[in-house]
Amino acid sequence: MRSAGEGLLGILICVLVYAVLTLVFVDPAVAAEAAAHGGHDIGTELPVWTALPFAGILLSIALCPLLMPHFWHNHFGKISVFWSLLFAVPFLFFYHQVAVYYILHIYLIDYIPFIILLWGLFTVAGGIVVRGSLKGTPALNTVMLLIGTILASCVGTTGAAMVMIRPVLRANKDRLKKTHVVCFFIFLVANIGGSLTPLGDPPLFLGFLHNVPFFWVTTNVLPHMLTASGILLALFFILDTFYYRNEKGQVESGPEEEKIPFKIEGVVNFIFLLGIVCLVLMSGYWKPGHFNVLGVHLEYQGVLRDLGIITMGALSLMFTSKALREANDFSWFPIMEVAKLFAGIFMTIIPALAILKAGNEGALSGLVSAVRESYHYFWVTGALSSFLDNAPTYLTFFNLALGKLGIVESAVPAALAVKAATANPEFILYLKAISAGAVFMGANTYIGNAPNFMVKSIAEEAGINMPSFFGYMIKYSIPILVPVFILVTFIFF
Amino acid sequence: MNKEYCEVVVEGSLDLVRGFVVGFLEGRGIQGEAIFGEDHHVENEGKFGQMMRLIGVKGNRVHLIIGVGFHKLLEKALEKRKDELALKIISEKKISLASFGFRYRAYTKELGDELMALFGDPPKGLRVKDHKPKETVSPEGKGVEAYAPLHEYEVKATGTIYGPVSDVINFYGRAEHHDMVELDSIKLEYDEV
Repeated sequence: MRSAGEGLLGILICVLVYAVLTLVFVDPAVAAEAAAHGGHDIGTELPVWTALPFAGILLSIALCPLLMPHFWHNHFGKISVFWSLLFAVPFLFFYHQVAVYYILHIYLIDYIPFIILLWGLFTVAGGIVVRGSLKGTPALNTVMLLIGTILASCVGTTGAAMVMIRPVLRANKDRLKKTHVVCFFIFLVANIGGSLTPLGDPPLFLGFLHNVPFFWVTTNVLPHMLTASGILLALFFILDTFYYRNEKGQVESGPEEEKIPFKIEGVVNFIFLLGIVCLVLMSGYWKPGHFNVLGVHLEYQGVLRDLGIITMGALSLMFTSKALREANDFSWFPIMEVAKLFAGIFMTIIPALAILKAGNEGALSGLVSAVRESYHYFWVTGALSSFLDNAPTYLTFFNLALGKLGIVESAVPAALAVKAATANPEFILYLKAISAGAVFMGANTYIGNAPNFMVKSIAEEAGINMPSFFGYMIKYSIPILVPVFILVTFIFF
Repeated sequence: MNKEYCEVVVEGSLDLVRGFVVGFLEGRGIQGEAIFGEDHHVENEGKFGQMMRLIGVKGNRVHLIIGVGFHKLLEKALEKRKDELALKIISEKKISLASFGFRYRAYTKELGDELMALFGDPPKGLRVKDHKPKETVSPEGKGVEAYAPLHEYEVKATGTIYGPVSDVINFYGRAEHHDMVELDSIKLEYDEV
């Protein structure tokens, strides 16, 4: 396990970078000039091939862990830098100040808050440990999946998966068939469960950062989430009951182990979790104003939220014993992975977002006009989220919808206000489809969402024979998830 | 000395053959065992045969593994009841050897050692062929990872277990309870009876 000191060092670096950017570079004259450059719409000028580094980094994330795991594990940071520079160097060379503005904008508005939130949730969730000698009966397994599904929208899919996977594996260690338990865990806890709040899944937090109200997904994606997770939980219960009955009498009982009573340790972290929720909510509703960093508008509430989340994480590190984190096999590696890879993703996504925002004026006007109906958004966002990371995919289609309907980001809350005169029913339907597609269909493959691989690895180390990449799709996601998503399409889109 | 077994293939429904054989054993008070191939992953039919059976060209066939000697008694009993029961012996072969291929992988040293011991040192009477476990240790893979999943420890192996049929079947039953182990069907080799 890497030491908590390294984590604190990471926080300090973040704080310092933030401080330098916000305090040192705030020069009104420079800011005014950069703001003017910010008005320059590069989306109408950039050719499609400028998005190749974006495709490159997403495909690297999707394929390298499967094709060259050792190389990827040791060099993914360098690969991320490679794709970033491939776009950034010519971009800066040709666009000078405009390029600086765009790069600064995406890092200050999207990347830093995104990483801070993930870090905060990961740190807090990593201090919560569920213990107990549980017996993996179909009823108990279903209840554990249900708890994990609910938890995912509170602590994020990665945090919920980290907290719940070991208790689920321990409860089922004497079961003969347990692969299906882990696969349904990936469906529900590592993906679909995260669809109800911006804390649940990274794409929804990106939506929140781009003015989608905090509770918008809670109220608008709830029916879709309840339908999908209700069907999956019922199916799981039936399947698990079938296996459980067939296993009776076949199970070799292992040596008698000491019974551990059920308990949740590290409960102090729930206070820090509540703190994070309150900070995120505060940033959505309190509008004290903004200041400029080289022309990029930074809102005071956003800065306060991010500093507050860092404080919550730091408090969690201080008040949680090392033993609890060790019980979760906690390390900083996953968050370092996210930080390094998303630094590259956010750099390379700039041209894709700009082109899509330009709508019919941009080089992807064909795609803008081809994706017309809400079910197109659901399936195209979902299909791409199955194989590429769902956060950039969400942002891409969010911008596609904005570009198509000619909505500016500042008008998003008004366009989503259902009963107001400003409401845009088309945009509401599109955004429901994009949100559900990005979050739900991350479960279609191991590479659709970050916790999927993590759960697979932990399960394999616990001696569970997890299916291969294609085995998971053929045996589980295609026959089980795809029909559920077809049903969701017919009901809601 | 190991008991000798033979494979008797009976044409007829599995339930009928099972009922007849078990009843026969009980009725005669024979202290013996009858192993039904279908219960123990014994490969007794090629793909072509399975296809023929599926399209109805071939009737149901039950593969029975029984002690040498008992097969003669069974043959006589079935002959006696041939007008009442639609059961017919198709072939009788003495089994010389049984074998099955295996593959396993493990991602913890503890489980890896357990599996290497299980297959590397099988019970008395059984032998293992081509079992060369390959262990890989990647210290950088320690801990939980999301985008760069790498196991700290990994062992992979393949091989074949062979020996007397009853021992092979017993060992197969033990091995198949390990989730990380994949087993091929049991293959039989014969001497003519």
